[in-house]
Amino acid sequence: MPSINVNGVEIEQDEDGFIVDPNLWNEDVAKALAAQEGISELTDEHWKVVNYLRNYYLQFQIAPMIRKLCKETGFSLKKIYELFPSGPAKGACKVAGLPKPTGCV
Amino acid sequence: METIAASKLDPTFMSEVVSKFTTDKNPADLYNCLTCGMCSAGCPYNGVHDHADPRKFIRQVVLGMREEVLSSTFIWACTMCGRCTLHCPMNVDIAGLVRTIRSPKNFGLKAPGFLQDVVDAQIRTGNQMEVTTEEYLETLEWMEEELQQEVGDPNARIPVDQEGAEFLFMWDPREIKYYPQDIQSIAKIMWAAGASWTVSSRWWDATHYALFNGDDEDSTTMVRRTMEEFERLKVKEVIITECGHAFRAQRWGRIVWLNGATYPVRSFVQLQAEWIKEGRIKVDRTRNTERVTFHDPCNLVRKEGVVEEPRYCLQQVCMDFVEMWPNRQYNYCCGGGGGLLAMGKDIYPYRMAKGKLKAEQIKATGAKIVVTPCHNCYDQLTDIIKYYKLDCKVRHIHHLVSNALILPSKAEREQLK
Repeated sequence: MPSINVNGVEIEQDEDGFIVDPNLWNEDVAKALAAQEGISELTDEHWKVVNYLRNYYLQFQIAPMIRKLCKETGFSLKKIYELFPSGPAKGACKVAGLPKPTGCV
Repeated sequence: METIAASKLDPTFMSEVVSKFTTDKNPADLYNCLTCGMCSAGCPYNGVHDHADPRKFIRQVVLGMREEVLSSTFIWACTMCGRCTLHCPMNVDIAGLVRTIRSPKNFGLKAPGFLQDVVDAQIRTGNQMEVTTEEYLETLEWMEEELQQEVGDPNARIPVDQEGAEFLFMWDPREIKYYPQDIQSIAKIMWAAGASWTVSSRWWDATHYALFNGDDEDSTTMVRRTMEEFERLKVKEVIITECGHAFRAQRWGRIVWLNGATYPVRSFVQLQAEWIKEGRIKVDRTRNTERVTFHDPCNLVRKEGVVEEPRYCLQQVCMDFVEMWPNRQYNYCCGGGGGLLAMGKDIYPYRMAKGKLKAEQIKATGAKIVVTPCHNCYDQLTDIIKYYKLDCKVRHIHHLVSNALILPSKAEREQLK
């Protein structure tokens, strides 16, 4: 399976590129995951989405509804796709270090 | 060559399999197998990766090679696409046989990856993504507001629990959880058609992963929920979102798990084709100019016979629609069917190996968009495009129809009633 090396730490990814152990996530890991998604630089707007997803996940151990994500960040769905071209699930959640959600994602 | 140890053969195995086989045909039809090997010739993956030999699998079952069958990789690497059966002169249902062996309640097997978790989540919470009723209704309201803005009609609705509506529309939960724009796209078409439709607040998940793990008890629970909502809301017809396995489970499933129930079930694809044909919705194909090809979901097309409707839609809403080859009932599986997308890292190499055939088919068309009315195929195609570096994107039919819609005026909408 693939993995990324961030600051000397080998971080395992699943077959879809999600990190296997969410505890290993940090901002440098997010940058490395974003690069894999074709996002060369994480702007403040990216961070707003990533931090919201991260905090929600730490609190509830699940990804939020997209409705909540848009409401809390103030971004439209279109804007989220502009920031994360693979979309909220496969793009934003991945960069935020959430494990791959089960189900038909 | 492997040697078959006659002393280890279990003469009771085949009859046990037959006795546990859920089918709308004769469960003993594998007795008719001629050992001709047409199934293995029909399987697109025979020769593409190992463990892709349906003939060998059937012979193992018939000979009573219990251990070999239950520990085989074949039963998990098979996407249950049914192309083998299409070529079988005796019409032996090999996908059904695979499902029977897989079931945790038949032979105690457990699917790889998180397939079982998806089934459990749906049984426990009513939908496979564990979306709460509050979150579900909030998302529908949100998309209703977005739709009202898009079409400029404050009365555009996504009606919930409306008794006596003509259509009960059922979702794939990922439309609710991760792809809410799909809700808007579907509701826009409903609005333009002036449809009398509703969605349930109670059981609204059309998907059915028990079709893949083979658990008949859970399958019965899932499909019974749909029947309950059909009766409770007194609708005329159940409409299934663009999801292949959901359509198969809801249509074929109501026959096998609900003792031949016959309440009407159609795919949203059929409804769109009908409305375009009748002129109930008007479309402008010049809005979709890129070259489009169509991938046939096995469950919708080969197994359930919805063959020409998706093509009709695409011909009407696109400027440049080309078929891939082979197509229709003969098309190859995307490589992610049969629950393989939920089987994790051990099955992933099989998925990508299978996907090579699909990647070549797509590439040969020169299409920039591959359309498929199935969420499962949608994800596998997206993965293939990335893996094989194709310059192409994936869309559902409703995305293109929605984009080509000529919005009706208020007067025109009045006439539709």
